[in-house]
Amino acid sequence: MEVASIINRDSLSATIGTESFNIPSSHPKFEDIRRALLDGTPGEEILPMFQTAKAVVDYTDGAIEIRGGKVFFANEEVGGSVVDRILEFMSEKLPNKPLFRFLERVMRNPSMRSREQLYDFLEHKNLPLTTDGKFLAYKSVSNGYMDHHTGKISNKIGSVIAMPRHRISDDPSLGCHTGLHVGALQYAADFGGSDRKVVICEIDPEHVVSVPLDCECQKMRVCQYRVVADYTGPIERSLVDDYDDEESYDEDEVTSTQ
Amino acid sequence: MVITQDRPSPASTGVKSEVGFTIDPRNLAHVVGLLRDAYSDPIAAVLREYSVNAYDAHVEAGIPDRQVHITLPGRFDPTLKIRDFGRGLSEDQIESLFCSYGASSKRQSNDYTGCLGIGCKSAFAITDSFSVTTYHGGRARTYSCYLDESEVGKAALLSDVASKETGLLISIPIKKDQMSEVESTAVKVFRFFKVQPHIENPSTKTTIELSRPQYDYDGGDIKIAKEAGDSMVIMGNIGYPLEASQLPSDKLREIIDHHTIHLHMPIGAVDIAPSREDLKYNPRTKAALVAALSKGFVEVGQKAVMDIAGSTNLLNALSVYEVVFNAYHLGPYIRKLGLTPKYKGKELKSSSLSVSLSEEEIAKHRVTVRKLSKLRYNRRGRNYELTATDSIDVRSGTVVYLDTKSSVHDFFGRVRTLLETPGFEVAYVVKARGNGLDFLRKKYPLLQEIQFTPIEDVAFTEAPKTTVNGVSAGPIAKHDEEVFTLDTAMIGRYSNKQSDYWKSAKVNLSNPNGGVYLEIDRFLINGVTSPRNFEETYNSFCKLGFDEKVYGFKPSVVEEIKKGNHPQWVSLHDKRIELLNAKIARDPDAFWNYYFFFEHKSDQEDHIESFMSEELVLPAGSVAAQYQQALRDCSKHTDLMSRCRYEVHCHAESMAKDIKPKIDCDLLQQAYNARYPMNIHWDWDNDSFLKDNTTIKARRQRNHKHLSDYIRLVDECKPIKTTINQKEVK
Repeated sequence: MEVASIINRDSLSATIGTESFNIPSSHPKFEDIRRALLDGTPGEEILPMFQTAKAVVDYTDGAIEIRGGKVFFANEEVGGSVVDRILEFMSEKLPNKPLFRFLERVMRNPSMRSREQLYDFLEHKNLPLTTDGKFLAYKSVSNGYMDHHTGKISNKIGSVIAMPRHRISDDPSLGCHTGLHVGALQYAADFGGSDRKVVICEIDPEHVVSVPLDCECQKMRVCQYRVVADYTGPIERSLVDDYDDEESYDEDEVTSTQ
Repeated sequence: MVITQDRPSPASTGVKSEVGFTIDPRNLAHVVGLLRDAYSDPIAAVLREYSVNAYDAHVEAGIPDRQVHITLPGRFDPTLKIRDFGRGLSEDQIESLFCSYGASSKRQSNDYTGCLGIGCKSAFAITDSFSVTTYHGGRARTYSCYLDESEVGKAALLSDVASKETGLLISIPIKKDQMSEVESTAVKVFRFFKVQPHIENPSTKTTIELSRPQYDYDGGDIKIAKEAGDSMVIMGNIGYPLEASQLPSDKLREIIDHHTIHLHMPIGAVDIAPSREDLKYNPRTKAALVAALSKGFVEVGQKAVMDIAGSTNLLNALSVYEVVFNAYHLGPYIRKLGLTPKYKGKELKSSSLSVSLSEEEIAKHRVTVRKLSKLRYNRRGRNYELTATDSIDVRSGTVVYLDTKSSVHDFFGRVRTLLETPGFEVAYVVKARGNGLDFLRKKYPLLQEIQFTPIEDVAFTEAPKTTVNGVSAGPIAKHDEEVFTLDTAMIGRYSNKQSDYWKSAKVNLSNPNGGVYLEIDRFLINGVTSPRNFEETYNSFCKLGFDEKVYGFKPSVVEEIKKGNHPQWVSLHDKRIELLNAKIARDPDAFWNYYFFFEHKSDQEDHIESFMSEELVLPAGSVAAQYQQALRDCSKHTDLMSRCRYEVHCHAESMAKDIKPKIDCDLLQQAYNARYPMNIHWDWDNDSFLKDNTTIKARRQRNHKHLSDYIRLVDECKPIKTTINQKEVK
C-alpha cells in the first residue's frame, strides 16, 4: 500500500493507497501516526491508526460500542464528553481502568436525567477523573472554609458534605434550588466576593443530581462531595491520583498531586 | 466577479526617471501573511470561500442547482470536507490558479462570485496543511497544501489514481476546540446561498437544517427582515453588512438604522474587501448603494400599494400597511414619493382598528375582544396571556380568532401552531355569543371586512417543534387513541409532553393472557400523576421482580374491564399487592421482625443516616450501639417495608394477626434519647454539641468522636443493668 505524507507542526496530510487523511495535532494518535510515517511503517499498519472509532473500541476492550455514530456503554448511550475523555486518555496513553470505573459509577446514578446532564458538565475543561473513577470539580468557599450560602457548613480539606438526594431537584431549568453546589473552574473562580477561596472537590458520579442550564452548565448540584485540596492552579491533566487517605492529608501533599 | 479597474493611466511631464514598486521575495511571506490574516472570523471564511468556489464550479459545469456536499468534522474524523461536482482542476490549473496568490479565472464574468484568488488558500488561516483532491480527466489527484518555512506555502502531489468522478474535494483538519464552532458558523454563512449545501454531521449521522431569513415584507430587491439585526447587501450568495453611516443620504441612513433591510444586488455591483467580510465603501460602491436603495424603496412602495389594493380582506391589507407605511422613517419616505395606500378605494391611515366597548355593551351583547400575547419564558416554557383590549393592531401574520361557542375544547391546543411560530407576537380572540358579532360589526363597520378564523374550526394540527429542554414536540394524533404501552425507555427522562411517555398500542381485551394496566387520562396516571414522576415507583416494582409490559388505558377502557368482563386484566395497584404479598411470604422475617420509621422523616430523623454511618464508632454493648445496629439491620429491608407501609392490605394483615416486630426502632430511639439526653443538642450539621463554629474540627471522623465520647461517659457513670428490651421502655 503506497504511503505519502506531509507532516507539519499543527497537522498532517497523508494518502495510504486510495484513501487520504488530514488530522490536526489534537488527534489522539497524531504522535503515533507521525512516528509511523517517519519510520516508514507499512500502510496496512498505519491505516487503523486513523480509524478513531475502532481505536476507541479497542482501547476500551470492547466495553464501548459505537453504533451509527453514537457511543454506548452497557447498552446505554453516553454523551460526547465521555468520548472526549476517552480520546484524551488515549492521547496521553493513560490506563483505561479509571474510565471504566467512572462509567460504572455513572451507571449507578439512579436518574437517567442526572446522567445526561453530567455529560454536559464534563464538557468543561480542568475536571480530571481520579483513578477510582470519580472526578474533581471546584467550589468557592469563604477564607474560613465555610460555605457562602449558610456560612455554617465547613468545607475544610477532608470534609465529606452530604444531604439526602430526594431534597434536590434534578430539573436543569431550575437555576437556583436546594442542593450542594460545585462548579467548573471558571464558575467557582468567579463566585463569591473578596473573602473567599477555591477548594477542589471529589465527586462520585453517582451523587450528581443536576446541572442547571443557566451559567452555561458550569455549576452542578450534587448530594455528596468530598473536599480534597486547596486550589493552587488549573489541573491540566486528564487523570489524577486518588485522594484516599484522609488522615495523611496536608497541604504539602495536596500541592504535590497537581 | 468582474473587478472594476477605474484608475486611469496618469499623465506625466518632465519626468527624469522612475522606479516601479516591487515585492522583494524575502518579504513575500509577510505580504501573504497579511492576506491570510485578513479574516476576522477564520472558520466562517473557510466555509464561505470554499463553498463559493464550489458553487462557481457548479455554475461553470452547467449544474448551478446541484448541492455542494459538506461533511462537518466529528470526534471520530476531525476533517471538514467540502465537495463539488464540477469539472475539477487539471494539473496546470492547480499550479496556475490554486497555488497562485491573486490568480483567478473568474474575473471575466459576473456569473461567478469568486474573483480575488485568495479564498482557496483561506484554510491556512486555521491550519498549516490541508489537502485538495481534484477529480479531472479520469484521474483523482490528491495534493497536500502546506505552509513551509517560507510561510508562502507549497502543494505536494501525494497520490494520482484513476477515477471516473469529477469535481474537487477540500479536506481541512479541524482542531478539537474549533469543531463545535464549525456547525454553528455554517448555519449563519449559508443562509443567503441560493442553493444551500447539503451538510452532514457524521457524529449524529444527521443532516443539518439550514434556515433562510424570514421577511415581514418582500419588496423585490429590498426585503424587510422579521428579525432585528444588521442590514445586509446580498450579492452572489454572500451577505455583506450594510453600514448606514457610510451612506451619503440622511434619509436612507435613517431607514437603514431603524430597519433590518436586505438589499439584493447583482454580482459585481459593488466592491468588496479582500476578506469578503465587508463592502469596500469607495465612491463607486456608495453611489451604487444609494441608487439601488432609492430604486428599491420606490419598488417597495409601489408593490405595497398594489398589494393593499389587491388584498382580498382588510386584515391582509392592514398587515402590509403596518410594515411599510406605518414603519418609522420608511413610511414617511415612501409617502413623500406620492404613493398612497388604498383599500377598496379608501385611503388607509392606520393599522389599528378600534373595538372600544363599555361594560354595559359587553354584558348586553356578550362580546369581548382579547389580546393573546407572549409574555415571557419561564421554567415551564413559554407563557401566554389573554387580556381585554380596545384595539386590534394588525401586523404581518396577525390572526383574529372568533369564538362563538360556549366552550372550545383545548383552546391553547388549537392555537399552539400559531403560538410556536417564530416571530409570533400577538393574536386576537373575539368572543361573541348570540348577536354579539352582529353588534360588533354594526358598531365598527371595518370589522365586517376582517376575515375571522373560527376557533372551533381550527383542527389539532401537528405541533411545531419546540426546544423546551431539548425535547421536540411531535404529532398529537395519539390523543384520539385509547390504548398505550408505557415507554420504559422514557422513564426518568424529561419531556414536557405527557404523551411522550406512552406508545400507541393495539390490544384485544379478550386476549386470555391479559396484562397489567394503569388508568390514564390526558396521559396522566389516574389523571393526576405525570409519568415522568413514575420512575421511583416503577423501579420499586422492578425490585419486586416485576418485568411485564405496562399498558395505559383510557377511562372508557378501564370501565369496560371493571364491568368484570375481562378479569385477566389487573391494575398495577393490584399487581403490586400481589407481588408484595409474594415477597413477604418468601421472606416473612424481613417484614415482620422490624419496625422502621424512615418514611416519616423529620429534620432530626434525617440525621439517622449519619448515625448509622460506619464512621461513628460507639461503645460496644451500649444502648446507643444497640440502637445503631438495629437501624443498620432495618435499613437492609427499607425498600420492602416502606412499600408495604402504603399498602392497606399488608397493614391490615399485620393488625389482624397481631404481629409485633421483634425489633422496633421507634422504641429503641426513645430508649436512646432517654439515656443520653444531651443527644438532642448534638448538631449534626456542624458535628458539634455547640452551635459555635469555632469549636468545629475539620474532620468529621474526629467530630464523631465527641458524640461517642459522650455516650461512653454516660455509660461509665451510669452502667447498664440489663439489656434493654421493649417492655422496659414501655
